[in-house]
Amino acid sequence: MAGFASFDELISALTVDGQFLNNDFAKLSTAPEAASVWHSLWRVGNFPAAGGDGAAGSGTPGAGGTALTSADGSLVKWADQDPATKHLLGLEVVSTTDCVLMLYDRLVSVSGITLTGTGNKNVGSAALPRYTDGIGVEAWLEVTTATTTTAPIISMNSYTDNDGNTGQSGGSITFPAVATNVDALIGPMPLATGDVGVQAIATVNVSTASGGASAACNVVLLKPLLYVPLVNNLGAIVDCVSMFPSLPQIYDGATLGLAFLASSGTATNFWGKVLAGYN
Amino acid sequence: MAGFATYADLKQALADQHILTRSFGGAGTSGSGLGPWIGYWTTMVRPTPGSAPASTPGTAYTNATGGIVFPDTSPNLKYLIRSLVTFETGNSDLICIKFVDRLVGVGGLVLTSTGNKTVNSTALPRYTDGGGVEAWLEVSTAGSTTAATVSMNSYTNQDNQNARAGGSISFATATQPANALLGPLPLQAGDTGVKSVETINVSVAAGGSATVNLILVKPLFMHGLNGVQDRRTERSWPLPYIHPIRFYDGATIMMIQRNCTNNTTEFRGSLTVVEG
Repeated sequence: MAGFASFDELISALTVDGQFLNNDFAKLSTAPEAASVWHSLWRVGNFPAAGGDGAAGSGTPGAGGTALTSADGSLVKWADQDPATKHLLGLEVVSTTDCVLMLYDRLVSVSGITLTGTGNKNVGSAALPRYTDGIGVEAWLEVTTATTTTAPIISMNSYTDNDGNTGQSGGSITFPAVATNVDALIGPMPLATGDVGVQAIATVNVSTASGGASAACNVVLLKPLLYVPLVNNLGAIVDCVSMFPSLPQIYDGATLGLAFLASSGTATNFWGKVLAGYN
Repeated sequence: MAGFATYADLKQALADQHILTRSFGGAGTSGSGLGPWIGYWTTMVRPTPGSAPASTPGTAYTNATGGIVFPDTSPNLKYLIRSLVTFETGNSDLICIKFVDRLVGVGGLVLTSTGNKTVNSTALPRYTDGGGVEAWLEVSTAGSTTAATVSMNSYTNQDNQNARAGGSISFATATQPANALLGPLPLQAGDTGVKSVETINVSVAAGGSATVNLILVKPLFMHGLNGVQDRRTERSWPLPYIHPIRFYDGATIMMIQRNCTNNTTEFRGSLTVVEG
């Protein structure tokens, strides 16, 4: 049986069998937009190096973007352990500003969604590589080129929900500023009533354009794993064995990323460690 | 059988007093301002402080002077069961300290001119594939007048691929005291660690007369310290924190700190391991 049936099995797996994994990280953010705006750490280094953008969107469902499996930029690149399963044991982290840090599994990234004009934008997101039923999978917009003259308003107007229903349409969301900074993370995108996740996105609709010539974003499908409230320069230790969340699974191929809910517009540095065991 | 087959085995090892403790104490270095990491390699009082590493190919550290060192116990393994830290500081800045296994140091690197600087670091004594190993610069002689910008432009990664090149990184301020740390140095996309460093490149020179060491370290664990003067903190294993922090034979444990505002911080404490 995969996993840990008892505390004894966990102790034994970690110490006798050495089935313990840990990776350190250092992420130096760009400037967040403002307090209470999420900000992505995917596209910055230093340890590991910055992750890249996925492929462009497509009008053909499933043909857009990139499904991410142990992708460059992931905090960890742990070897597959199937049929054993990997579980998060904890996280240690220190940041240079007050914030809330989110650890997530980045599933699909679709680049080149232009915000300069209104109308439907093709996404056609690739099939989810993990969490394939879409339950708890969230859609976010990751700004890659700053907006300029107007705060865009955008909705996920055709997506497939967690039950496989196509053509679902969620509410709209407004960017936090006229000039929203690069790496700002907008979301999660509103869902239709009754939905609890996203399997795929066909199109997003820009109802109010950014103006300017080049504003653009990625559409990212991700699964949140852990949230950590942080006080600046005060290290935090999260335990996932004796505290919630209890041993969340890190799937083979996981592409772990970080984002933070900022307390100001100050660029923030993070240093930490992700710890896991498998059995 | 090394390790602990059950929780009861672990508790029995504790009951049998298979416990080793090392105390430590040291004073930090003032002057780098709020922000940069600062190392304690040469400012420890207990154990004996370390010294600058040799120049290329440098020094590999195994139970080395300057580190917090435990006896080798092979084939038994050692795991941290308790870490206790107290600190004194002249201000109320929040502080984080990390304990790292100092693996390799290469001394005498000059940042006062641009161009490639030969490192050719010696082989890692532990974590030999380089997975999770970080490269940092450690100021050995203060005297910079400009914030240098450097990159690790030729290194060998955790998959033994050589000639890897990472991005650049800059010191936060023009002047840096001895023991100020810069890092981890950025990696090339896809890499997860450093097996060796062949050259670093200085694209913006430091000016003045500063020299630095390149050190390769494996971070082990951290403590957060509340921003009230003269406090204590501890962490224990296996409860409440299940993360089994293993100390390898030969580990040379060094303390680094998120620096507080220009004040010297003094740390004292102890590390305790169980072996079995």
